[in-house]
Amino acid sequence: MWEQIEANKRTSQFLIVGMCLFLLLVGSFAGVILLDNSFEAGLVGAILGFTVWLILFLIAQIGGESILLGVSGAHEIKKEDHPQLYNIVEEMKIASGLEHMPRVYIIEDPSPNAFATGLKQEKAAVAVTTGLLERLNRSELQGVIAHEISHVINRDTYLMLIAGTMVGSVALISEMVFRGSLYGGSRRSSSRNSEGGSGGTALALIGLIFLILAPLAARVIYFAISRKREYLADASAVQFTRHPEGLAQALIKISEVSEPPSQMTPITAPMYIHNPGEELFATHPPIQKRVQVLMELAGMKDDQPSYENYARAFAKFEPRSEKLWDRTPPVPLGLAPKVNQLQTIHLAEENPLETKIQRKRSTKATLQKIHDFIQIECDCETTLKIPPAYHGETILCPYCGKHHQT
Amino acid sequence: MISGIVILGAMIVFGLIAVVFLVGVYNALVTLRNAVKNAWAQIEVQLKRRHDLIPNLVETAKGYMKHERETLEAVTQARQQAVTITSDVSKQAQNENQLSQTLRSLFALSENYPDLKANQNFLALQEELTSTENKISFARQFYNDSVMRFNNQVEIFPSNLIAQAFHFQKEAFFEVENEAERQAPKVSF
Repeated sequence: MWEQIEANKRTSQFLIVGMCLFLLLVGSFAGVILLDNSFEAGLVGAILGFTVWLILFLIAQIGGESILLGVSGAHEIKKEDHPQLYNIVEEMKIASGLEHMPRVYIIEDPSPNAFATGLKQEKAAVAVTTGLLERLNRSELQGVIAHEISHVINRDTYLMLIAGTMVGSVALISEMVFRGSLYGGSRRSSSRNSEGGSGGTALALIGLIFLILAPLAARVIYFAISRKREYLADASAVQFTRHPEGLAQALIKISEVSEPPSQMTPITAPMYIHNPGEELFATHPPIQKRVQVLMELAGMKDDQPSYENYARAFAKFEPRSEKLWDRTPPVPLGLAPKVNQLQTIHLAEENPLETKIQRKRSTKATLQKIHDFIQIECDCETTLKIPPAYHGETILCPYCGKHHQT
Repeated sequence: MISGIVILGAMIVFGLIAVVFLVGVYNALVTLRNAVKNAWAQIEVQLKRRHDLIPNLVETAKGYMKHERETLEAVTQARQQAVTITSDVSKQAQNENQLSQTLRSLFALSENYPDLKANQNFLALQEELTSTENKISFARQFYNDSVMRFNNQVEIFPSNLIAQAFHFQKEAFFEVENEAERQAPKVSF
């Protein structure tokens, strides 16, 4: 836990420095393209890039949370406005050992979603949509809030706010360049002819390509960071609620709606609990996988979900993947590693094979339902599950050979 | 002469490292012990809140649950017992668990009274008490986690040496149920 938070702090610092250098590069290319092909132009551009970054960084430091909440159309509520939601946030505050009560916000939007923000834990805020409140029951809502509070505890909110600022400034600078080169095209070409020559034009061309790719690259880095944080937040959430099913069911219900909240922007998307976006720029790991891991965890005999158990459950679905967390699994909060017990549990799991198979089947069925699989009951008591990609008119039962209409 | 200076320097460096280590471990122990105290304070806040809510609940339920005098009295009595603060953590825990059980049976019985279930005041109180129950168990969970971390630090080498020197005592857990209830029920024919 603490190692993970430390790692997050280090990642933030690394990111701030790295992105700052990236911005200097972007800025100097911008200078070369907009002004002329000299060292001074590059320097001016670099200073400009740095200034843009500094201003945005300061704004994020001072009022990042309020801007984010404002952009998302969230309004703060008091306990009287929604006692249950407020109570659940307070419960999770206690379970996580957070010192200050986060502010609670509601977003008027039918799409179920939630996010947390806050540079410091004292200024943390949790926002949920009205769609979420309508769809989820108490324990599911608790799972979602636990996930959000985990983001605050693990300092993901800080990391994401800083990273978001970086992406924003890169995007801003490249847009400035494109606008500038449109208006100042003639002046630039004349000055280049007099000074630069063919070498200069090539450099400017490289710069232009770099500037086109820069916002994309920044975004990919940003999203890659956010994806990894989701698993950790799920693991911490389960640690707080000790009830993996609640979060798993909430995720299933949330994923049933493919329409994102209307106020969701590319910058705020990674902060939400679920982002129903395209695969390439996925800010979150696929929801089926998160549900699978959680259900596996729920089925474990050891009724105390710890980080270790979460990592074990995760490894089952992705045995070849790199380690889930950068370092050794964080020490489970208050759960001493019980080596002997772990072994006995492992043996115990082998015996009731039936229940294990049953559990796997039910999880799989739920996941297939999400993905519009068609189910056909055959006379021989086999259930055929047909993926939506299948286009044939009839299908053969693999056991009795009977034909079925799809 | 020169070797003497080197040895002296090495000793000073070694001494400094030892002092830094000592201060670090001592501070870590104090921080952990404060976390335990803070966690316990959290539990007390929630317990007090529950004690304050119960008279209102009983008052509201009285009008509707005329035939459940005994249950209501049991709740009031269990509350009375829990309010008397004892210094013994396990005794206190036992009283609170007693109160939780009587409350649970009260809410279970309330299912039979549709008029009561429709009462806004009762519903609000029920949400408050459910949440307070949750908060108590989450606070207890966090308290036990904190105690575990503190106790580990007190026992683990080398911090146990410093813990002993400065009289850091292990803290008691807030047990979930009393010992008798935890044992598996015996089935007899």
